[in-house]
Amino acid sequence: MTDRLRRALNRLRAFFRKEPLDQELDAEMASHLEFAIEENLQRGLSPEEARRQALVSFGGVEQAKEQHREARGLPALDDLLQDIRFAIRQLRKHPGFAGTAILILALGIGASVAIFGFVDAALLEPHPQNRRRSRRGQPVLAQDGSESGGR
Amino acid sequence: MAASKLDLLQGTLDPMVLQTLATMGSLHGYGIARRIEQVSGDRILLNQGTIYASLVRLQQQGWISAEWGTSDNNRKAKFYSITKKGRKQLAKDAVYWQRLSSVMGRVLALREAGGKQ
Repeated sequence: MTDRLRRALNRLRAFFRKEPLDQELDAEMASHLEFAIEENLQRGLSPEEARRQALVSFGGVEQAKEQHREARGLPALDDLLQDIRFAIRQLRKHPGFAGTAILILALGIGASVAIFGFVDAALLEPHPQNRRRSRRGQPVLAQDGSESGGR
Repeated sequence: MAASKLDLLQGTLDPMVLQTLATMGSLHGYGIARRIEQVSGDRILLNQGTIYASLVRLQQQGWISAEWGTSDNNRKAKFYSITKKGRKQLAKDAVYWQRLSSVMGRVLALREAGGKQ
Protein backbone atom coordinates (compact mmCIF):
# COMPACT_ATOMS: atom_id res chain seq x y z
CA MET A 1 0.00 0.00 0.00
CA THR A 2 2.72 2.45 0.91
CA ASP A 3 4.41 1.45 -2.33
CA ARG A 4 1.35 2.45 -4.27
CA LEU A 5 1.15 5.74 -2.42
CA ARG A 6 4.79 6.46 -3.09
CA ARG A 7 4.27 5.68 -6.75
CA ALA A 8 1.27 8.01 -6.96
CA LEU A 9 3.14 10.82 -5.23
CA ASN A 10 6.11 10.39 -7.52
CA ARG A 11 3.85 10.50 -10.53
CA LEU A 12 2.17 13.62 -9.24
CA ARG A 13 5.52 15.28 -8.60
CA ALA A 14 6.68 14.33 -12.09
CA PHE A 15 3.50 15.83 -13.53
CA PHE A 16 4.52 19.26 -12.22
CA ARG A 17 8.17 18.95 -13.20
CA LYS A 18 7.82 18.14 -16.86
CA GLU A 19 10.42 20.50 -18.24
CA PRO A 20 13.42 19.63 -16.09
CA LEU A 21 12.59 15.93 -16.37
CA ASP A 22 12.27 16.13 -20.14
CA GLN A 23 15.59 17.94 -20.39
CA GLU A 24 17.24 15.32 -18.24
CA LEU A 25 15.76 12.56 -20.37
CA ASP A 26 17.01 14.27 -23.54
CA ALA A 27 20.50 14.46 -22.09
CA GLU A 28 20.33 10.84 -21.01
CA MET A 29 19.19 9.60 -24.40
CA ALA A 30 21.80 11.72 -26.18
CA SER A 31 24.51 10.14 -24.06
CA HIS A 32 23.04 6.70 -24.76
CA LEU A 33 23.35 7.30 -28.51
CA GLU A 34 26.89 8.58 -28.12
CA PHE A 35 27.89 5.42 -26.28
CA ALA A 36 26.30 3.32 -29.00
CA ILE A 37 27.92 5.28 -31.84
CA GLU A 38 31.30 5.04 -30.17
CA GLU A 39 31.00 1.29 -29.79
CA ASN A 40 29.94 0.94 -33.42
CA LEU A 41 32.91 3.06 -34.54
CA GLN A 42 35.22 0.79 -32.59
CA ARG A 43 33.73 -2.14 -34.47
CA GLY A 44 35.01 -0.44 -37.61
CA LEU A 45 31.82 1.04 -39.02
CA SER A 46 31.79 4.31 -40.95
CA PRO A 47 30.51 7.30 -38.95
CA GLU A 48 27.19 7.37 -40.81
CA GLU A 49 26.63 3.65 -40.48
CA ALA A 50 27.59 3.78 -36.80
CA ARG A 51 25.01 6.46 -36.21
CA ARG A 52 22.37 4.72 -38.27
CA GLN A 53 22.75 1.44 -36.44
CA ALA A 54 22.73 3.16 -33.07
CA LEU A 55 19.40 4.75 -33.95
CA VAL A 56 18.02 1.45 -35.24
CA SER A 57 18.87 -0.38 -32.01
CA PHE A 58 17.45 2.46 -29.98
CA GLY A 59 14.19 2.10 -31.89
CA GLY A 60 12.35 5.40 -32.18
CA VAL A 61 13.53 8.22 -29.95
CA GLU A 62 10.17 9.99 -29.80
CA GLN A 63 8.36 6.76 -29.06
CA ALA A 64 10.74 5.99 -26.22
CA LYS A 65 10.24 9.48 -24.78
CA GLU A 66 6.50 9.03 -24.92
CA GLN A 67 6.73 5.69 -23.12
CA HIS A 68 8.94 7.28 -20.52
CA ARG A 69 6.47 10.10 -19.94
CA GLU A 70 3.60 7.66 -19.63
CA ALA A 71 5.46 5.62 -17.04
CA ARG A 72 6.54 8.73 -15.17
CA GLY A 73 3.60 11.12 -14.88
CA LEU A 74 -0.17 11.23 -15.12
CA PRO A 75 -0.97 10.48 -18.76
CA ALA A 76 -4.74 10.56 -18.22
CA LEU A 77 -4.56 14.09 -16.83
CA ASP A 78 -2.21 15.11 -19.63
CA ASP A 79 -4.69 13.84 -22.20
CA LEU A 80 -7.58 15.61 -20.50
CA LEU A 81 -5.75 18.95 -20.46
CA GLN A 82 -4.78 18.48 -24.07
CA ASP A 83 -8.39 17.79 -25.04
CA ILE A 84 -9.59 20.89 -23.19
CA ARG A 85 -6.97 23.05 -24.87
CA PHE A 86 -7.96 21.60 -28.23
CA ALA A 87 -11.64 22.27 -27.57
CA ILE A 88 -10.99 25.89 -26.61
CA ARG A 89 -8.83 26.40 -29.67
CA GLN A 90 -11.52 24.98 -31.95
CA LEU A 91 -14.22 27.14 -30.38
CA ARG A 92 -12.08 30.23 -30.88
CA LYS A 93 -11.48 29.34 -34.47
CA HIS A 94 -15.22 29.14 -35.23
CA PRO A 95 -16.87 31.83 -33.08
CA GLY A 96 -20.16 31.62 -35.02
CA PHE A 97 -20.50 27.92 -34.31
CA ALA A 98 -19.36 28.38 -30.71
CA GLY A 99 -21.91 31.17 -30.16
CA THR A 100 -24.75 29.14 -31.65
CA ALA A 101 -23.85 26.08 -29.60
CA ILE A 102 -23.63 28.08 -26.39
CA LEU A 103 -26.93 29.89 -27.13
CA ILE A 104 -28.78 26.67 -27.86
CA LEU A 105 -27.41 25.01 -24.74
CA ALA A 106 -28.34 28.06 -22.66
CA LEU A 107 -31.88 28.16 -24.04
CA GLY A 108 -32.33 24.44 -23.64
CA ILE A 109 -31.10 24.36 -20.07
CA GLY A 110 -33.03 27.54 -19.19
CA ALA A 111 -36.30 26.23 -20.62
CA SER A 112 -35.88 22.89 -18.87
CA VAL A 113 -35.22 24.57 -15.55
CA ALA A 114 -38.23 26.89 -15.93
CA ILE A 115 -40.58 24.06 -16.82
CA PHE A 116 -39.30 21.85 -14.05
CA GLY A 117 -39.60 24.72 -11.58
CA PHE A 118 -43.25 25.12 -12.49
CA VAL A 119 -44.10 21.42 -12.46
CA ASP A 120 -42.24 20.95 -9.21
CA ALA A 121 -44.15 23.73 -7.45
CA ALA A 122 -47.55 22.94 -8.96
CA LEU A 123 -47.63 19.18 -8.97
CA LEU A 124 -44.82 17.54 -7.08
CA GLU A 125 -44.38 19.49 -3.85
CA PRO A 126 -47.22 19.11 -1.29
CA HIS A 127 -49.43 22.11 -0.74
CA PRO A 128 -47.90 24.50 1.85
CA GLN A 129 -50.77 23.87 4.27
CA ASN A 130 -50.36 20.12 4.15
CA ARG A 131 -46.67 20.53 4.59
CA ARG A 132 -47.16 22.37 7.87
CA ARG A 133 -49.62 19.87 9.12
CA SER A 134 -47.37 17.00 8.45
CA ARG A 135 -44.53 18.70 10.23
CA ARG A 136 -46.28 19.64 13.41
CA GLY A 137 -48.95 16.96 13.44
CA GLN A 138 -51.76 19.55 13.37
CA PRO A 139 -52.85 22.25 10.99
CA VAL A 140 -51.81 25.67 12.25
CA LEU A 141 -54.98 27.71 12.40
CA ALA A 142 -55.74 31.10 13.81
CA GLN A 143 -58.63 31.46 16.23
CA ASP A 144 -61.08 32.50 13.56
CA GLY A 145 -60.31 29.32 11.70
CA SER A 146 -58.26 30.85 8.92
CA GLU A 147 -54.76 29.76 8.18
CA SER A 148 -52.13 31.75 10.07
CA GLY A 149 -49.06 33.38 8.65
CA GLY A 150 -50.46 34.08 5.16
CA ARG A 151 -49.21 32.03 2.20
CA MET B 1 16.37 -11.30 -39.01
CA ALA B 2 14.39 -9.16 -36.61
CA ALA B 3 11.29 -11.27 -37.24
CA SER B 4 12.85 -14.33 -35.62
CA LYS B 5 13.67 -12.47 -32.42
CA LEU B 6 11.48 -12.83 -29.37
CA ASP B 7 9.23 -9.97 -28.43
CA LEU B 8 9.56 -8.97 -24.81
CA LEU B 9 6.53 -9.89 -22.75
CA GLN B 10 4.92 -7.20 -20.68
CA GLY B 11 6.53 -7.11 -17.28
CA THR B 12 9.69 -9.02 -18.17
CA LEU B 13 11.94 -6.03 -18.76
CA ASP B 14 11.75 -4.72 -15.19
CA PRO B 15 13.12 -7.88 -13.54
CA MET B 16 15.76 -8.14 -16.26
CA VAL B 17 16.93 -4.63 -15.46
CA LEU B 18 16.92 -5.37 -11.73
CA GLN B 19 18.90 -8.55 -12.20
CA THR B 20 21.42 -6.79 -14.43
CA LEU B 21 21.95 -4.07 -11.87
CA ALA B 22 22.17 -6.60 -9.06
CA THR B 23 24.99 -8.45 -10.76
CA MET B 24 26.81 -5.61 -12.51
CA GLY B 25 26.61 -2.86 -9.93
CA SER B 26 26.10 0.66 -11.16
CA LEU B 27 25.40 1.04 -14.90
CA HIS B 28 24.03 3.61 -17.34
CA GLY B 29 21.03 2.98 -19.58
CA TYR B 30 23.11 1.96 -22.59
CA GLY B 31 25.17 -0.44 -20.49
CA ILE B 32 22.05 -2.11 -19.12
CA ALA B 33 20.52 -2.48 -22.58
CA ARG B 34 23.71 -3.92 -24.08
CA ARG B 35 24.14 -6.29 -21.19
CA ILE B 36 20.60 -7.65 -21.55
CA GLU B 37 21.13 -8.09 -25.29
CA GLN B 38 24.39 -9.93 -24.72
CA VAL B 39 23.01 -12.23 -22.04
CA SER B 40 20.03 -13.09 -24.22
CA GLY B 41 22.43 -13.98 -27.01
CA ASP B 42 20.71 -11.33 -29.13
CA ARG B 43 17.65 -13.50 -29.22
CA ILE B 44 15.24 -10.91 -27.88
CA LEU B 45 14.04 -7.88 -29.72
CA LEU B 46 14.89 -5.06 -27.37
CA ASN B 47 14.28 -1.53 -28.51
CA GLN B 48 16.92 0.03 -26.32
CA GLY B 49 14.77 3.12 -25.86
CA THR B 50 12.14 1.17 -23.94
CA ILE B 51 14.62 0.69 -21.14
CA TYR B 52 14.05 4.27 -20.03
CA ALA B 53 10.37 3.72 -19.25
CA SER B 54 11.38 0.71 -17.19
CA LEU B 55 14.07 2.69 -15.40
CA VAL B 56 11.71 5.48 -14.39
CA ARG B 57 9.17 2.93 -13.17
CA LEU B 58 11.73 1.15 -11.04
CA GLN B 59 13.07 4.41 -9.73
CA GLN B 60 9.64 5.66 -8.71
CA GLN B 61 9.08 2.45 -6.80
CA GLY B 62 12.32 3.00 -4.96
CA TRP B 63 13.87 -0.19 -6.33
CA ILE B 64 16.76 1.57 -8.04
CA SER B 65 18.51 4.88 -7.52
CA ALA B 66 20.10 7.14 -10.12
CA GLU B 67 22.97 9.55 -10.17
CA TRP B 68 24.76 11.51 -12.88
CA GLY B 69 28.39 10.56 -13.18
CA THR B 70 31.26 10.19 -15.62
CA SER B 71 31.94 7.03 -17.58
CA ASP B 72 35.31 5.38 -18.21
CA ASN B 73 35.60 7.24 -21.49
CA ASN B 74 34.84 10.55 -19.81
CA ARG B 75 31.27 10.89 -20.93
CA LYS B 76 28.53 12.19 -18.68
CA ALA B 77 25.82 9.63 -18.06
CA LYS B 78 23.16 8.77 -15.55
CA PHE B 79 24.18 5.72 -13.54
CA TYR B 80 21.65 3.44 -11.95
CA SER B 81 22.13 1.06 -9.05
CA ILE B 82 19.82 -1.32 -7.24
CA THR B 83 18.58 -0.51 -3.73
CA LYS B 84 17.91 -2.83 -0.81
CA LYS B 85 14.20 -2.76 -1.59
CA GLY B 86 15.04 -3.53 -5.19
CA ARG B 87 16.93 -6.67 -4.18
CA LYS B 88 13.93 -7.85 -2.17
CA GLN B 89 11.66 -7.22 -5.13
CA LEU B 90 14.05 -9.01 -7.45
CA ALA B 91 13.99 -12.09 -5.22
CA LYS B 92 10.18 -12.12 -5.44
CA ASP B 93 10.18 -11.56 -9.20
CA ALA B 94 12.71 -14.29 -9.76
CA VAL B 95 10.60 -16.84 -7.89
CA TYR B 96 7.50 -15.78 -9.81
CA TRP B 97 9.06 -15.99 -13.26
CA GLN B 98 10.79 -19.28 -12.54
CA ARG B 99 7.53 -20.80 -11.39
CA LEU B 100 5.67 -19.42 -14.38
CA SER B 101 8.22 -20.62 -16.90
CA SER B 102 8.38 -24.10 -15.36
CA VAL B 103 4.59 -24.39 -15.46
CA MET B 104 4.54 -23.23 -19.08
CA GLY B 105 7.24 -25.74 -19.90
CA ARG B 106 5.30 -28.57 -18.30
CA VAL B 107 1.98 -27.65 -19.91
CA LEU B 108 3.51 -27.32 -23.33
CA ALA B 109 5.27 -30.64 -22.94
CA LEU B 110 1.94 -32.48 -22.52
CA ARG B 111 1.40 -35.22 -25.09
CA GLU B 112 -1.88 -36.54 -26.42
CA ALA B 113 -3.44 -39.24 -24.25
CA GLY B 114 -2.03 -42.64 -25.18
CA GLY B 115 1.06 -41.09 -26.68
CA LYS B 116 4.46 -41.05 -25.08
CA GLN B 117 4.36 -39.17 -21.80
